Amino acid sequence: MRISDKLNQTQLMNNVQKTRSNLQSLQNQAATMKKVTKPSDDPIGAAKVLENRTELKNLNQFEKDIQQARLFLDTTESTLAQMTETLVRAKELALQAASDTNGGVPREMIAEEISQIYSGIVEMSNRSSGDRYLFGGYKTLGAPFSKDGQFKGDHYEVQIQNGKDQFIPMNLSGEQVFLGKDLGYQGTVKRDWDIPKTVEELQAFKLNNVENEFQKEEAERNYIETRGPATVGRAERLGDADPITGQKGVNIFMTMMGLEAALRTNDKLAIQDALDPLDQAINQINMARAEVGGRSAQLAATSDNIQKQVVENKSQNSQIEDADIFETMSNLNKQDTALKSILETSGKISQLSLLDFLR
Amino acid sequence: MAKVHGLMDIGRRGMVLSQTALNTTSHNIANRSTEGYSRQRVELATNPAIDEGRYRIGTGARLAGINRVNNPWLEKQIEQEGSNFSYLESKANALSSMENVLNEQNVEGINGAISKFFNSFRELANNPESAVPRTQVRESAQALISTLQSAKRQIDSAAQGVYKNVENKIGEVNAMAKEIANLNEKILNIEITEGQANDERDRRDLLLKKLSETMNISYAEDPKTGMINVMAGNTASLVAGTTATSLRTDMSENEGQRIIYDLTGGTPFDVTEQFKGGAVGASLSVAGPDGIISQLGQSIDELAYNIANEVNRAHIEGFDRYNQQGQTFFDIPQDGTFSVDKMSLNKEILKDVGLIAAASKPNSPGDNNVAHVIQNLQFRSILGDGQYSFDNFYNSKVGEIGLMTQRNQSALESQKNTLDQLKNTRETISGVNLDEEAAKMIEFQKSYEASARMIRVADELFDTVLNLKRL
Repeated sequence: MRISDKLNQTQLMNNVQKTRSNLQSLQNQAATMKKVTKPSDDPIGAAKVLENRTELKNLNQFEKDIQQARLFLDTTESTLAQMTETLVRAKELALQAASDTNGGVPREMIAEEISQIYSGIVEMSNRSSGDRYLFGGYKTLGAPFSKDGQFKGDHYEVQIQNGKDQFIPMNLSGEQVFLGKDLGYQGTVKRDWDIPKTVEELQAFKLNNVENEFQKEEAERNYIETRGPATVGRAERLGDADPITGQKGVNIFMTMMGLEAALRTNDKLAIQDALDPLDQAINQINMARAEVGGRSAQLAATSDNIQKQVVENKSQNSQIEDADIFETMSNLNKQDTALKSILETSGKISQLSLLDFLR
Repeated sequence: MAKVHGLMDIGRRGMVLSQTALNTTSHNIANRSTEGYSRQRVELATNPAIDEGRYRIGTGARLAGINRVNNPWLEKQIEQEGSNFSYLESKANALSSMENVLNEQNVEGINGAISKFFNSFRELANNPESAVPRTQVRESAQALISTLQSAKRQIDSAAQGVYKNVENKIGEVNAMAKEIANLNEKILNIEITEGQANDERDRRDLLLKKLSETMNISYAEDPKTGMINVMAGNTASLVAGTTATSLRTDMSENEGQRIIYDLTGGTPFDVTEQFKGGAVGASLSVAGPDGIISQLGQSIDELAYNIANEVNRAHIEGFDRYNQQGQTFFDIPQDGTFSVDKMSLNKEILKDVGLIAAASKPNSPGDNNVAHVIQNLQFRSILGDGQYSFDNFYNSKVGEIGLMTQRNQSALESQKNTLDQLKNTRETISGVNLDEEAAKMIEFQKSYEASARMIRVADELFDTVLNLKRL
C-alpha cells in the first residue's frame, strides 16, 4: 500500500484524539465516580436512576412522616397509659367507698380525691404534642374539652402518609376515647377508611362530611341522656349499651362526676352502680391504647420496610451509575500506555526520511 | 544520419524536461499538506524519431502532460459520505445541547424540583397548623417554576444557536458558490488550450465536498467545457456555468427558519423543504417545527401546564388558614396561550403563606386532606391521556433524548470510520509521499546532470570536428 505523509499524519492525529478522548471520559469517571454522567451514556439506566432518586426522596419523606406520626402516637399512648392508672385508682376508691366497712375513711374525703382525679382527667384530655392538641380531631389548635367535659373538637382523623397510597391516622378523637361515642364493635376505636386521593374523591368527601355532620347534629338533638349524674343507677337496668345508638361506651367525665356526686351524697347504691361504668371506662381506654399500639407497630414495621427499600434503591442506583473504580483505573492505565506508545512510535517514524540517507 | 546538433538538442530538451519534472516534484512537496491536493505527475513520451534510410533514430523525450493522480469516483464517494457525516455531526451537537438541559446525573434539575415540590406538600400534610411547612411549600413551588423556566430558556437559546448557525452556513454556501463559478471560468480558459487545470480542479473538488457537507447538492460536469453546474436541494440552481445565485435565510413566525432562493430578477422561492442532508439539513430537522428542540420545549410546557392546572384544581377545593376557600395556587393564562415563562405563583400566596389551602373544611387547622390530594398528584397518571405521571413523563423524555443522542453518536462514529477509510484511500492514491518525491528528485537531478553532460559531449564532438583541419 502506498502511504502518503498526510495519511500518516491524519492517522496519527486520529489515534491521539481517540485515546485522549477516552482518557478524558475515564478521568471524568474517576473524578465523579460515576460511569453514567449524561443520559446518552445509558439512556434506560439514566431514566431509571431518576425514577429511583424520586423514589428515594419519597421514601425519606415517608420516613419523616412516620417519625412525626409516631411522636404524636407515643404522646397519645403515654397519656392514655396515665389515664388507665388514674381510672384504676378511681375504681379502687369507688370499691373502697362502695362497702360500709371502708376502714373508716369518710366518703367525703374519697369524693375529694375523685374530684382531684377528675381535674387530672380534664388535663389529660387536653394534652398536646407540640402545639397540637391530641384529641381535638381537626381542631388541633383549641383545647378540645372544657372543665365540665363538653367536647369542642370534632371526630375527624388526621391522616399521615406512610407509603405510596398508604395512610394511617395519627390521632384519636376525644369524642371516642373520653365520651365513648361512635365506638366500633366491642368498644374498639373505629378507623376512618375514606381518604380522598383525587379532586373528585375530595369533592365527594366534602359532600359526605356535610351530610354526616347534619345527621350527627340530628342524632345529638334527639339524644336522651342515659347516664347523667342522677342516672348512674340506670346502667344496671338498661345494660351497658346505649339505648339509642346501641353502642357501648362510657362518657368518662359524666361517670366521674356521677361518682363524685354519689360520694358526696353518701349514696351507696349509686356508688356501686358506678363500678360497672368505671370498668367499662378502663376497658374503653385500653381499647384506645390497643389501637394506638397497633398503629405504632404498623408504623414501625413500615419504617423497617422503608429502610430496606432505601438500601435496595441505593444499591440499584449504584449498580447503574457508579463506576467500578478498579476497572476505571486499570482502563485509565491502559489508555495512558496506549497514548505514550502512539506518541513514541510516531515520533520515531516521522524522523525517518529518505532525504537523511542521501549523500 | 544523425547530426551532432541533434545530440545537443536532445540534451537541451532533456535538461528542460528534468527541470519541469523537478518543478512538479517541488510543487508536490510544497503542497503535501494542502487540503484537497492531488499529487501531480509529469508524463513523458518519446519524441518523434527521424527516418534515416532503413533506420529510425530516436530524438529524445518530450513532455506529454502534467496530470493529477486522482480517482473521481472516490472523490464523489467522499463527498457523499462527508455529507452524511456532517449531517450526523450537526445533529449530535444539537442533541448534546438538549441532553445537557435534561442532564441531572450530577446536579438537581426538573426531576429533583418536582420531588421537592410534592414532598413539601407531604410536609405540609404532616403539620398543616404550622407556618414552617407552608413557607417550604412556597419556596419549593418557586424553585419548581424557576427550574422549569430555566430549562425552557436553555432550549430556546439552543434553538437560537442553531438558527444562527444555519445563517452562517448559508453565508458560506454563497461564498463557495461564487468561488466555484470563478473556478469554472478559469478551468474553461485553461483547458481550452489543451492544458490541464490541475490545481483549479482540486480546489473545485474540495469546494464541492464542503458544499455537500453543508447541504444536499447535486452537480454534473459539462464534458465539453469542463464546467460544473451545482443544484442546491432539488431545484435551486446555485452555480450555472460562470454565474452563481445566492440563498438567504428568513425567520417565519409559525414555521421557524426558512431558506429562500433569491434569483436576481425572479420571485423569491422557499426551498427549505428540499434540504434534508448536510449540516443545514440536520439543523433544519432538529430546530424545525417538528424537530426535537421544539418538541422538548413543548414537553416542558405540557408538563408545567399540567402540574399547575392539577394543583390549582385541588387547591381551590381547599380552605386556607383564614377559613376561606382556596385561590388558584399558580397563576397561569387559561386562554390556551400557556408557556412556562407565563407561569407564576399566586401573588397573594407569595405574600402570605397562610393562604395555602391544606384543609377540606373551614375551621379545621389540623385538616390535611387537600395537602394529601395535592401530594398524591405525583403518583397519578395525568399526562398523555392518563398514561404518565409527571415523573414518568419527564423521565421518559430524558431517556428518549439519551437514546437519540446515543444512537446518533454511534451512527456518527461508524460514519466517521467510513469517511476516514475513504479519505485514507484517497490519500494512498492522491497523497504526497516525501520519500517517493525524494527519489524522484534524485532521479531527475541525475538525468539533468546526464543531459548536461550530453551537451558537453556534443560540444567536444564539435571541437573535434572543428580541429580536424589543423591536424
